[in-house]
Amino acid sequence: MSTQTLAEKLISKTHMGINIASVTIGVGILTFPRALAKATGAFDGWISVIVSGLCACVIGWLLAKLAARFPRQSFFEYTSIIASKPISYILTFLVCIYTMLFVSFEIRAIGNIAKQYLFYNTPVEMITLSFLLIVQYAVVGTRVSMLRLNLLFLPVVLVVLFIVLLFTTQLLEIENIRPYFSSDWRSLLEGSKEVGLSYSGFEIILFYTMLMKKPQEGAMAVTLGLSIPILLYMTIYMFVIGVFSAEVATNLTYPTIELAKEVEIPGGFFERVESIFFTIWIMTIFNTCAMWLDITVLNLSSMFHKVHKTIWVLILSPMIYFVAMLPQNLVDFFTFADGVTYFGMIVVYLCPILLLLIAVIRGVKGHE
Amino acid sequence: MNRQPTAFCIFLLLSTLLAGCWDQVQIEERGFVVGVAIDKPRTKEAEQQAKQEAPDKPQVKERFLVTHQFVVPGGLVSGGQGSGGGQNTANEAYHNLISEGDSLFEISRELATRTSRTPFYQHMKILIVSEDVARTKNGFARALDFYLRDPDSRRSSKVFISNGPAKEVLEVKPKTEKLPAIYVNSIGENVTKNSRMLPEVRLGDVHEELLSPFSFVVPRIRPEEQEVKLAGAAVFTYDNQLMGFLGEEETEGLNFLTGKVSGGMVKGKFKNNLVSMNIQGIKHSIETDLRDRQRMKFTIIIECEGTLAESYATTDYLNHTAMEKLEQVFAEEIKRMSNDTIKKVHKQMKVDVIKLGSYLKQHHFSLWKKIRQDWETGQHLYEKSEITVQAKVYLRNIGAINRTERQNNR
Repeated sequence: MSTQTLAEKLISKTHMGINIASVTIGVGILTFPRALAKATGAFDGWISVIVSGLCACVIGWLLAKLAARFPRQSFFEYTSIIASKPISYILTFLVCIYTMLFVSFEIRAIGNIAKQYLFYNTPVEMITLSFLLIVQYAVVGTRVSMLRLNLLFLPVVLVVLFIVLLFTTQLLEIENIRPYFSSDWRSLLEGSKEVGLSYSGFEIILFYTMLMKKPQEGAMAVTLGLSIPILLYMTIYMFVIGVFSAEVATNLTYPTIELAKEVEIPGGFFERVESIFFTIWIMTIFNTCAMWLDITVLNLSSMFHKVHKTIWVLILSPMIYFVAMLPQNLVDFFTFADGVTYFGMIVVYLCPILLLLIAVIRGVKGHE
Repeated sequence: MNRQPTAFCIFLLLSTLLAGCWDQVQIEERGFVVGVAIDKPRTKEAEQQAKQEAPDKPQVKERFLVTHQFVVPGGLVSGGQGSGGGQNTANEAYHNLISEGDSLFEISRELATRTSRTPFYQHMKILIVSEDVARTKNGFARALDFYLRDPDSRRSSKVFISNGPAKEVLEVKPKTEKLPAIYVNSIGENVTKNSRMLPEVRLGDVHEELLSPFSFVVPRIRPEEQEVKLAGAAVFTYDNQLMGFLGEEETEGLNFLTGKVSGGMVKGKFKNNLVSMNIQGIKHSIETDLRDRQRMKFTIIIECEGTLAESYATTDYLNHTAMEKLEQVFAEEIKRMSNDTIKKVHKQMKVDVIKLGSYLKQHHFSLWKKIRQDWETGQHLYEKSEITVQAKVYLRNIGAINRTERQNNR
């Protein structure tokens, strides 16, 4: 029998892939069909989904290569090896801000959407707070068991989404789908940019590779992990356009929720599928949030060894909550979301790729 | 040592503070709205009254008279001794509340002052908009905005245009159903039996049409004393204004032209005697000749399949010549009906409800991109186009008998 405890166990390639899929599927899944339909104005948006998914794969592959050069070393550690300690402090700190902002964004999204569709009288503050408390609880526990929840939740999420899509097939209209290939390259690229925002999340490979059994498999894990959202987004987009047409999708605040609302299973009890849809969606956001908060704590701990994890969670939570309450309305909120993602592009895509370049040029490598 | 009591106190505190629900609504407090009818107010009385109460309030042009049909759960129980019915002596399963105002949301909230059960739209089955609301500019879209925007309501409610006051539809007293709204909803599902009604149009479909640049049709409903008649179509122009109605037969023709027939019947004259066919399926395709943009040619090919349902002619049908003759008779009739509809919508009304523009968009997108401004507007290419119909009938079966009485029975 293995003498390892759960907390010491390392994660496999498939598990890492599922982590990446879970962290990627988040708020974007509800809104991206609107942005994409607006940009492309047609069914062809699925091309954009694939194009930007492939871009994400390439970036993710580079990030995985960087992390795999330094097995068992944290982001902070290998950054300081490549580019001196002060720079590493600054960069890790920026990453912490980014991941923290991401948590704020996710919990605010839960608050907004739950308020709009589920709790009309409950204040957003309260919904957000209770959700944050649960996320805290998950993060304070052991890291690997928190990641195990992904294994538990993702299949449920995918099965329910599959059922929702299955029941919307009767509403698909071929005239909404045609004409095919009518968008020009410019609008498809514009669309790719819009979907790109929904793919952010795979950068966790930078921080979690140190937990992997075989860090070299990180690149495979990213591809595996991203293939799930790519397929999912593509299917959802096709269904949204098929059911609603591009004009309507452009004018729905949360097209995917409306799609779930369209489903009616005759027979009363399960007639309203959107309640199940909301349940699984909140599960995915829970996973996403827990991982982002955990990464924030992970990075802070790697910089300051002495402070305990629980203390970090307690320090961070009020800040996260405060930032989450800053956007005053929906427009503010979407602007905030875009801002976070663009900030992330510099901090967790561009900078690490530069680091990889430096590491390759200088030939720096970690040691097992 | 006093750690445990402290923990216990915190536990108690949390369980009292965290339990509870802001949004608790007991099912008995919900007023389930099954149907909504939107009219224009007949009198100026309420408007005047509102003016007196708040003379400085900004004036608006449109006012709506909205009828909400609530379910009375007690009345649904047969026998009538249901609980929660209150003083429901008439033992009706529904309750209609009529209110007037300039905003539909205002009207919905105004009902809260008059009913113990606040409106809850998630189970709204039908939405009826009266002719005069739909005829005003943007009136149709304005009447529907609230129901589309409300996160509570569903896009699957069926939409009808009433010929006459819409509230009368919700006031009919059907013998077969307890709720008028459910009665209308069920009639809407009978499209497989009759091709004179349009296939159901859902709130979501209307939203799609309102956003699209094409003309469209919505089923017409006509209230009578004890029943409603759901046949015919209300025609909307590309700018979403009601233009007129199509009669029952014209609607049938339109269904043939758009391929939306899922069942119904066709009559014909065979050797001066009446014969009728039960339609079992239809295939519809369009052929185009787009070389001359000013005179685009469309050929709509209708292929219809069915069985003989009734025959007053006493012919022997079990041979090829008779069958072919019959097929031709029915094909002629389909062609006639379709041509009548084309005459009306193409030549008189000049609206593209046959969805030829949509066809061009789907199959000839590069051309469509150039002419989309000139289709129903601008150069009016739709009006200048030429539409012909070809019909083909496949009679599969003559039914259980060949003849009812002896041939040449004179």
